Amino acid sequence: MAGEQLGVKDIFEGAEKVEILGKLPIIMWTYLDTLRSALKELQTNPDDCAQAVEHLQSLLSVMKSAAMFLANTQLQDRIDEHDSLLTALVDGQTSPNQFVNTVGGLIPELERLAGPRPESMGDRSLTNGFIKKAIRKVEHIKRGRSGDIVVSADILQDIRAFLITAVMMEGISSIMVIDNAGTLIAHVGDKVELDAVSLAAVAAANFAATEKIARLIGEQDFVLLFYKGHNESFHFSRIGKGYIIVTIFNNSLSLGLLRLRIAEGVQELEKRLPTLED
Amino acid sequence: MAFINKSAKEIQVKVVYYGPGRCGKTTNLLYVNQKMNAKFMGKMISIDTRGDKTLFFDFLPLQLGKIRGFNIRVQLYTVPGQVLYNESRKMVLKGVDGVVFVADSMEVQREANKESLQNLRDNLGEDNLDLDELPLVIQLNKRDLEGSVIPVLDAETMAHDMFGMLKEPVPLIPASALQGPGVFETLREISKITIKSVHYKLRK
Repeated sequence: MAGEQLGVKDIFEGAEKVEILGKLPIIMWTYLDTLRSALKELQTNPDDCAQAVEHLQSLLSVMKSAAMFLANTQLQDRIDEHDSLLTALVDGQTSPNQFVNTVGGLIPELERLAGPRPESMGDRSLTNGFIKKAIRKVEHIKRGRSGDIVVSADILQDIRAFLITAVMMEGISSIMVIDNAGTLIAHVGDKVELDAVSLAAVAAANFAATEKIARLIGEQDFVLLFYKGHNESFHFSRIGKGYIIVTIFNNSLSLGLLRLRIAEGVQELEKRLPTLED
Repeated sequence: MAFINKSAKEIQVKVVYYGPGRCGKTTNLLYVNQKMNAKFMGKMISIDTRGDKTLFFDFLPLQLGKIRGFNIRVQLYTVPGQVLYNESRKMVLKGVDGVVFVADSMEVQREANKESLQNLRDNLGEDNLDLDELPLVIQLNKRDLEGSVIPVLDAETMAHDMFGMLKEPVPLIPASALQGPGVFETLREISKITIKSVHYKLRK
């Protein structure tokens, strides 16, 4: 979750590595541009650089992870150089003037390693908004978008137990709790032949698609989503912002009763599931 | 399955952008959406997660002028690239007339490209379609990373990888969906061969 420092390996285990590597040139150039403007500022207004230094450090940490993943020792060494100089500046071991002089000399080398400056960047990189966006993006990727949700074994146990005791009833064959992206979080029920993982992914897609339909006709979302089959039916309901509860039940169960049951369950589940950050 | 409306003199075809996760399928559509004249374009619809991963599909309808008095409408779709979403991919592929396979030029994605192409073949097979019969264009995306710090596969290696899995070579277009080069070339090429194949089927 947020705040937790993940190791290099963790960052690059997921699909996010593809994104972070693809964006590395942009990240490096953002760093270089930020550094240049920070150097200018250091000469004129050395006390007012805390934010820029912080930005530089976050960008460096990602570059470092990427360099290690690529096993690019040359790049790694350069980044370490920058890193230690920045640390020295923050700790007050180096004066701003010294820093400007040493780092200024290191810039061309890093530029060479970064390759040609991406055209798509234009001059935007120097605006504060662009840097912040790049950093936010990087932090986001570092946390691992797919790993955003951390559900501990206790919570999982708790949710399963709750689903079994408080939601499950005669006529329901399966209950699934999934997240917006279609990851299966909990599944209880006796429908053995069910391919729960695929169902979760498709259900999330379907839910998102109907939400889009709602928007097209000017609604926020559809309150009730229910599919009636010949023998079994589906019921979808949102839990808070990030989760969906999917219930499969047979036609002997009245929809009204099910809705009531789910509505009660949803309130309780929302408290028990970890909150998602934006 | 092209939709041909003889009374309205209109041909509507469906083109799907396929490829491994994070290869730039949505970025391709976004670029088209940004650069094309809004007059010839409908609204782009994206069904994605909180992040920017495609969850179901992106959709962009275009009008591409007239051929022999018929209005040509092309509907562009993307699929979600992540392995998990295979069922959704199959749904989007239904009734496809042409495919753009977006291959990722980054070295780390070499295997992912091959897996995705095989997955495309398998999913088409379930719908009784043959990848070798279908209009196909391969886009080598992220060529802008060439010369940068990121190791990139050269075009020959990628062509060798991809063509090794196909019966016949298909058009290969280097591109950078983020910056634009190659995006419209890809669209032009796939539209051309898709319309051609529809026209051919029509005459049969």
